[in-house]
Amino acid sequence: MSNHADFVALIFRLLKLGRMHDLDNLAAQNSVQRAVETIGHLTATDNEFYVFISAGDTIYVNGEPLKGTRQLYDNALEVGMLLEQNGFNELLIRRGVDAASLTALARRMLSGAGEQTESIGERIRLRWVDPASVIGAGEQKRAIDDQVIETYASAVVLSRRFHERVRQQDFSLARQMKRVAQHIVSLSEDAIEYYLAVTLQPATPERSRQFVHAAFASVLVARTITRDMHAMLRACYACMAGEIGNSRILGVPDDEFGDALQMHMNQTMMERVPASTATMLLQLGYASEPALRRTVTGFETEWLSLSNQIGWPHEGKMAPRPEALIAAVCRRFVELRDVHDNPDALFAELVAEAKTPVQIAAIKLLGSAIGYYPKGAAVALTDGHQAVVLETNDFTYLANPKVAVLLNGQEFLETPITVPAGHEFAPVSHLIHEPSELFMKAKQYWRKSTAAEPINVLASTTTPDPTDGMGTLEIKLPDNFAE
Amino acid sequence: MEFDPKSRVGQMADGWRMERLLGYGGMAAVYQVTDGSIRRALKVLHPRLMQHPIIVQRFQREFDVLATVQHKNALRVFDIGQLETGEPFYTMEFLRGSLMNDIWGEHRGKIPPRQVFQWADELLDVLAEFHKEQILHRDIKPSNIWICEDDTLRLLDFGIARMENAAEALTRDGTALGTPAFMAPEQARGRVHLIDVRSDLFAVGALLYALVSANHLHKAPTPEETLVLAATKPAESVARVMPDLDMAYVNVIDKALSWYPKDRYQTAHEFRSAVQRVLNGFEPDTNAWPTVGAPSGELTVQPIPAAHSPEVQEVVGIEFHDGLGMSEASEFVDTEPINAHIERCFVRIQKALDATRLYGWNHPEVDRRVERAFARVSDTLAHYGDRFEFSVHPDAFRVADQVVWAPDPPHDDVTFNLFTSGFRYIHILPALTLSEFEKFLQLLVLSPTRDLPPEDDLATAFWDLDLTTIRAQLAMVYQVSDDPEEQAVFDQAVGEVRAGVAQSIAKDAQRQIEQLAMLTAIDSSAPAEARAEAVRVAYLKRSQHGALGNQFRGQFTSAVERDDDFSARAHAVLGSAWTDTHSVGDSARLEVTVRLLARRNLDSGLGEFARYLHGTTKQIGDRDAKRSYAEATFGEANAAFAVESIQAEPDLDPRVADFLGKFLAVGDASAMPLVVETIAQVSPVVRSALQGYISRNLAGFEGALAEVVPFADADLATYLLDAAQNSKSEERVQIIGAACSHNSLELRRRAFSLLAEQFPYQAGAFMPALCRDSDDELRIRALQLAANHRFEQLRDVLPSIAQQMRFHMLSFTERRLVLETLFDVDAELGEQICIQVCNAAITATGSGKEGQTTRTMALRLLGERGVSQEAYEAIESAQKWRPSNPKRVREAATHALSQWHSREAR
Repeated sequence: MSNHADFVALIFRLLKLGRMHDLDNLAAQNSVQRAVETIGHLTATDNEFYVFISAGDTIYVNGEPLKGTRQLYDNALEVGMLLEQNGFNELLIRRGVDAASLTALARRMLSGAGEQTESIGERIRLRWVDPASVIGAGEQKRAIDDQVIETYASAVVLSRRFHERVRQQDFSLARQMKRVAQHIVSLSEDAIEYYLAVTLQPATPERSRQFVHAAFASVLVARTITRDMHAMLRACYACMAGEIGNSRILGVPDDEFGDALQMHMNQTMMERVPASTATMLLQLGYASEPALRRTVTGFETEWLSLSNQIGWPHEGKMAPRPEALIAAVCRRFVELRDVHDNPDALFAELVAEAKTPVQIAAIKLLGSAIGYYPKGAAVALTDGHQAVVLETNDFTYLANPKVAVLLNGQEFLETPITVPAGHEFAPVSHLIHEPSELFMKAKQYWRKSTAAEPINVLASTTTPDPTDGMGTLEIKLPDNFAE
Repeated sequence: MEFDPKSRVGQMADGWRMERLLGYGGMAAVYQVTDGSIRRALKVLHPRLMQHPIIVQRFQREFDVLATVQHKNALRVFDIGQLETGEPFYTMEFLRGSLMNDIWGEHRGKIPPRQVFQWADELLDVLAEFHKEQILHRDIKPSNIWICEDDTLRLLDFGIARMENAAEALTRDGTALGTPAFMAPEQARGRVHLIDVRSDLFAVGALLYALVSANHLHKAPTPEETLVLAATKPAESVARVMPDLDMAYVNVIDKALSWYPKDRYQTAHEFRSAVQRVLNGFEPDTNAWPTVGAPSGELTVQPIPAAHSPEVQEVVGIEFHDGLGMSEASEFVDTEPINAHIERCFVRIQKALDATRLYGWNHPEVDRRVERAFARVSDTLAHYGDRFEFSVHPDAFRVADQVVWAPDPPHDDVTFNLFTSGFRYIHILPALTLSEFEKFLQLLVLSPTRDLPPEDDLATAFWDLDLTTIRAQLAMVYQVSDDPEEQAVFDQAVGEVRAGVAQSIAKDAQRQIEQLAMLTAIDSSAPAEARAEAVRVAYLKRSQHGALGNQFRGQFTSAVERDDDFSARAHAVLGSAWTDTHSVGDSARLEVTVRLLARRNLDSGLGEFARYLHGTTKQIGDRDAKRSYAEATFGEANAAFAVESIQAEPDLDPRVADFLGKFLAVGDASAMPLVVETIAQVSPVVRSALQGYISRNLAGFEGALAEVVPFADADLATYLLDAAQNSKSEERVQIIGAACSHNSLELRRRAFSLLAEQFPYQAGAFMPALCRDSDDELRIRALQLAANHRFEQLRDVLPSIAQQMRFHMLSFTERRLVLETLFDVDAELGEQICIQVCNAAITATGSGKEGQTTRTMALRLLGERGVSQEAYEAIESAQKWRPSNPKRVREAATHALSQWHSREAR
C-alpha cells in the first residue's frame, strides 16, 4: 500500500476512533500513539506533510488523486464526509505531530462546523477550500476554443516554470510538459484557426512564450505534411523544451540575468549546446524509445538553431529529421516575428539565414502552412484571375496580399489591375507553381511598364529533395569491429 | 550393472513363457507370454526396486486395484506371482493397439475434439467404476491409456492409485506423485488429504486440454518447474490456445480444470453427462460461468447481478450463438433518457470485458460479445447522434449526475485508472467503427502499472491509439506541486496569461476563419461546426498549393513518416552527450539512462546489445570517455545480467564476444559467482569473452575457481593458472594447488613448480593428491618437498601408499622418501609401518626382489630410528633364518640391530 493510502487508512481509523470510543480510554490512547508513530514514519523521508482534500467524490492526497482499493476509497470518502460535516474539506498534518494534537483532532470532529480555517497545535490544519480549485476535480466540459486557449496559457506558464526548475536541476515537470505537448498536438485537428492565430501573433521577447508559439506553429506546419501525431509531438516538444541545455553550459544563472546570459555564449559553449540539450532531455524521464526520439529531435533542433555558428549536425553525414527542421524554422520564425511586422521582410531574413536547401524547403513549408504568398509569385484568385503578388507586408492580410491582376482566364489584361491587400471581392486562392506562357508574357509586358519587379524570395531558391541524406543508416558490424 | 529386461525373454514364470519384451518403464517391464495357445501380457517389477518395500507394495496394490473392478474399459488381470529371482509379476490381458500417447504424437498433438470426447466418455465411465470402489487413479495421462484396435480404451497403470479405505498410507502428505503436466493443484502441492475424485477429474480435464490443443496445460522446461506451475498457476481457458474450438467443448474442459475442486465436476458421472451432452449436440449443463483459473476472487468471472438489469436473460449462463444482437434494434425505446441507453451499453461492455478476462482478446466468444456491445452502442449513436458522452469519475462513468457504469470487480479499477490518468470526458462520435470500439475497450482494461512503460499513462496510450471517433477531454489543469499554495500560484499565473491573450487569440482566430472561409463557398450562416470543417478543408487546400510544391511536400511526408533511422541518430546523440558530460565531469547525469538503455538493448538480444554499444562508442572519440562509458554500461548493477546474457547466447559471434569482453573487463565483481559457476560449461567463444573479466576480478574468488580447475579442460585450466600466476593475491595458492590435480601432466608439473617456488610452506594441503599422482617424477618431487617441510597432511596419505599392493613397484627413491618422510612426520606411525613392512605383513613387500629391497629399507630405518620393543622384535625376527627371510634381509636386519645397539650404547 502506498504512503498516501496508509495515511488515509490512518486518518480513517483515527476519526472513527473518536466517534466510537472514549478518547481517554487507555486502548484509544494507545491507538493514537500508534498513529503518531505511523505519521512519524510516513513523514520521515519524502513528505514533510500530508494534505487530504475531499472534492466532491474525489479524494486527493498531496495533490494526487488517491489510488487504492474500493474499500480504501470508501473509507476516504467517509473521512471526507466527516470533515465536511465539520465545515472542512482539507486536512493537513505535518511532520512531528504529537498524540495530544491527534486526540484533539479526533475530538474536533465531534463538535460541528466552525471557522473556515482552524489549526490544532502547530502541525494540524483544517480548512475549507473551493473544490473547483482542486486539481482537475469538478472541471467543466470545455468548448474547443476554450481548450486551446487554456492549453496555450498552461503551456506558457508550464514552460516558464519548467525552464526555471531545470536551471535548478529539478526535472519534476517533465510529465506535465509531455502532457501539454500532447494537448497541443491533439487539439490541433479541430482548431486550425487558433493555431494560425497563435502562430502569427507576436510572442513578446519572453523565451518561454516564444517556445510555446513555436510549438503551436510546428504542429500547424507538421500537420500539413503528416497525420503522424508522434512526429508532430516531437517537433512540438523540441520547441517547448528549447534551450534546455543552456543552463548546464552557463551554470545555474542568477534569475536576474536569466536569458540575457545566453547572449554571452562563446563559440565553444555553442558547440556544446546540442549535446548538452540531449543530456538534459535524457534526464527527463525513462529512457524509452519515444523519449529517445524526442531527444534526437531536440538535439537536432538545437543544432539547427545554431547551425550558422556551429555547422551542420552529424557532421553532414545525416540530414536532420524533418521534425527538427520544422521545429527549428518555427522557432526562428517566432523570434523574428517579434522583430518584423512585415512578412516579406521576415521571410527574406529567414531565407538569408538559411544555409542549406533543406532549410529553404522547411521555410517554404512554413510559408505554405501559414498561407504566406511571396512577393513576385504567380497566384490564382478565387474568381479565376491570375495575378502577381506585389507585396505581403502585413500579417493581418497575410492570405490576401496586394496583387497585380494580369490575366482574366485566358484573357490578357493590357492594363493590369492592382488590388490592395485585404480586399474581399476575389481573394487569392492558391499559388501557381508553373505559370502559363501567356501569364509570363503578361508579366513581362507588365514589368516593362513598372519601375521595379518584386522578387520572390522563396521562388528564387531551388527547392531540394528534403529527404536527401535521410537514408536509413543500418549499423553493421564492420570487419574491424573488435578493434 | 544395469539390468537388461530383454534378458528375461525365454524364461518361464509360473508356467508362462516370456516370448518378447513389449515395453518397460521406470518400475516394471511388460512381456508377451504364452501358455500353450493362451496369450497374455505379464508385468514384472524391476529387480533393482525389490529393495524398496513401498514399491513392491504398490505393485501388488496395482494388481488388487485392477482385480477389484470389472469393466470393459478396465484392464483385466488374472494372476499374481513371483519369478524365481523373487520379482513379483502379474498377468493381464494382451492388448492390440497403441498408447494414446503414441496416437497423440502421430496426430502432431492435435486430435479432433469429437474423438477426444468419445474417449473421454469411455474414460469417465471406467473411472466412475473405480471411484465407486473408492479407488483414485492419480496419474491419468495419455501414456497411461491404451487405445485398442477396436477403438475402445483401457485405463492402465494404477501404480500410484490409492484406495480410500486402504489401511496404511503409502503416500505421505507433502509428497506429490503423478505427472505434473496433468496434476490437479492440490495433488501438485502434495496435499494428499485433499486429493479426491475431483483430482482425477482435473487430470481428465488436463488430458482433454492436451489432446485437443496439442499443448500441455503447464509448460516448463523441467518436470520440477512444471510441478511448481501446477501447484501455483491456475489453468487458463483452453480457448486461449484454441480460439476456434467450439464453446461447448471449451466450457466442459474449462470447468474440469477449475482451480477449486468445488468448481469442477463433482463426480465422474456428472463429468460424463456433460461430455455426452456435447457429443449429442446439446449444450453442456453449466449453470454458471466457468471459473477457470481462479485462485482468488480476483479472476473469477461473476455473473452480473441482474435484478435491476433489462438484460436478465443474458447474464445467467453461457450464451450460445444467437446472432449478434442486431435484432435488438427493434427493442430500442428512444423515449427513454440517453443515460438509460448508455447504461445498457455498459452492461454489454462489461460482459465483453469479462469475456476477455477469461479468453483473452483473440477469441470468437470475445468477438461476439464485443460485437454485441458495439451493436448496442451503434443503436444508441443512431438514435442520439453525437450525444453519447459521459464524464469520468474515480468510481463511475456518469451522464449528468446519473451513474451509467460503476464497473464490478475485477474491472472496478477501469474508471479509477482513467480518472487518475487525467480523463474527464469521453465522447463517442456517430461514425464509430467496430475496430475503433475494440481498441477503446482494450484501452479500458490496460493497467498503467502493468501494461505501460513508467513514463506513460492511459492518456498517452489513448493518444497513441489515434482514434478518430472517440474523443477524450483530459484535465486541462496541470499539477505542478504537492503544495496547494504553490499550485494555486501556478493556477493563478495560468489564469493571468489566459486573460491576457484569450481575446486577441479569439479575434485573430476569427479573422483566420474569415480568410479561409472566403476560399470556400460556405454560407456565413452555416452552423459553426460546418464552418469549422470548411475552414479546415480550405486550410489544407491552401497549404498544399502554397510555397512548397506538392512534389517536395510528398518527399517531406515520406521522410517524416519513415522512422527507421532513429537508432543511428540516437547513437550519435548519446555519444555526443556522453562525450560532453565526460569532458565537464558531470557524466553521472547520464549514468541511469545509459544503464537503462544497456539493459533494454541487452533484453532485446546480444546482437542488438552489441550494435547498441558499438554504435554509441563509435561516436565517442575520447579514449577516457569511452572507458567511462563502458564503466557506466557495465556498472555495479549490470555486470551480472550482462554476463548472464552473454552466457545464454549459444552462437555468439567471436568478434562480438571479444568486443563485449573488452567492455565487460571494466565491470565490477558482482558477476563473478555466475561466471565461476558456469565458466566450465560455456562455449570457448564465450569463455574467451569472460577471461579478461575473470583476471580482473580474481581476488576473493580463488576458492571457487579452485573447485573449477581440476575438472576444467586444459585450455581453461591453463588460463586460470595463468590468471593465478599473474595475480597478487595470497589466495591464488588455491588455484595453483588445484591445478596440481588436473588431468594434464604438463599443467600439473607447471602448477607444482609454481607451488614449490611460491608457496612451499602451504603446499601441504595439496600433497595428498600430489603423492598419488600418476607421474613418477612429479610424485618424487612432491615427496622431496614434503620431506623438507614435514607436512602434517601426509600423516594419512603415506601409510596408505606404503600399504598399497604396488608399493614395492615404486622406485627405490620414492619408497625411501615415503618411509623416511613418514618417520619425519610421525615417528611412531613411521615405526609402525616399517614394522609391518619388516614383518612382511604388507603383502606387496613380502616377496620378490623389490619386496626385499623395501624390507631392507624398513629395517635400516628401524635400526636407525626405531624405539619400541615391537620394532626391536621385528628386526630380530627378520634376522632369523627362515624361508621368508632371504640373505639380503637377514644381513640388513643384522646391520639394523647393530645400529640399534650402538644407538643404545650412545
